[in-house]
Amino acid sequence: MTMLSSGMPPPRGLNTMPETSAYFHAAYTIALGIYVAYALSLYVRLQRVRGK
Amino acid sequence: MRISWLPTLAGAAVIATVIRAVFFTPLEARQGAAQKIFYIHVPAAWVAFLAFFLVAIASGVYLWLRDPRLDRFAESSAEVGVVFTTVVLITGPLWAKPIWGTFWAWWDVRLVSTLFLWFIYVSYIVLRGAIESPELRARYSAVLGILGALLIPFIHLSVYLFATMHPMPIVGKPSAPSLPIEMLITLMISLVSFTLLYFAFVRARYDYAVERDAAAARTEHDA
Repeated sequence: MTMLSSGMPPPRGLNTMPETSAYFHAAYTIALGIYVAYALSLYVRLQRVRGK
Repeated sequence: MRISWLPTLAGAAVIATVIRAVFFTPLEARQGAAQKIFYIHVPAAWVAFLAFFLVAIASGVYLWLRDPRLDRFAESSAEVGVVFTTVVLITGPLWAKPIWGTFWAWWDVRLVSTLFLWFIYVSYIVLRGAIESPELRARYSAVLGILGALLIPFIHLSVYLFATMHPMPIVGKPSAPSLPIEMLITLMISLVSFTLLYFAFVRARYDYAVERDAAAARTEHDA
């Protein structure tokens, strides 16, 4: 996202909540990690049952 | 190497959704970045409910027709539903902590009933692993699959029936959605992407079940 500096302080709540941002990063990382891990588990199980 | 179109499309859609949610959707003024958890939490809950609803439908029809394809579909959808419910149960508390001030509240009916739903379908998977006879396994798990799905309307209506920390619906309410249009579009794209991912997962899991059963039949035939 392009952000331009106008010299004015940012609105309240905008980029001023590093602790909130940490929860956001954690949630996205864990959720996507679970989906990727499950996709890999399906792939491995399929290959194993096919004897490859 | 053959490339399957459904997993490819679903993967691309999920990546595009995450890029849009993270970089091209405005921050919410009071919650900041944490509100963006909404775009993975709500679709995961929607897909989990869809998955368990389809388990119940397939199980009900299985008890009538006794077609093993329906049992395989129910088995596949239940496992994928557990994966999505796990995401709901992890992303929810991560959103709740900065906004509500706590990861979990045992008095919140929606939280606890969602955890209960997760336990029911984990039990469904355990039950399937514990019964050797395919017919008996399919019949018992069909009954559990149907009973578990009865929780879904209860979880959905819990915000109306009990005092919970969860807000009232802001999109799926009788009047027009109160979500700003940019956020609403991201949510809609997200719902479609994760639904595609559900179908890709179920398709792959169903293929695995077919091959596993064929391998078991070959082993039995050879013995």
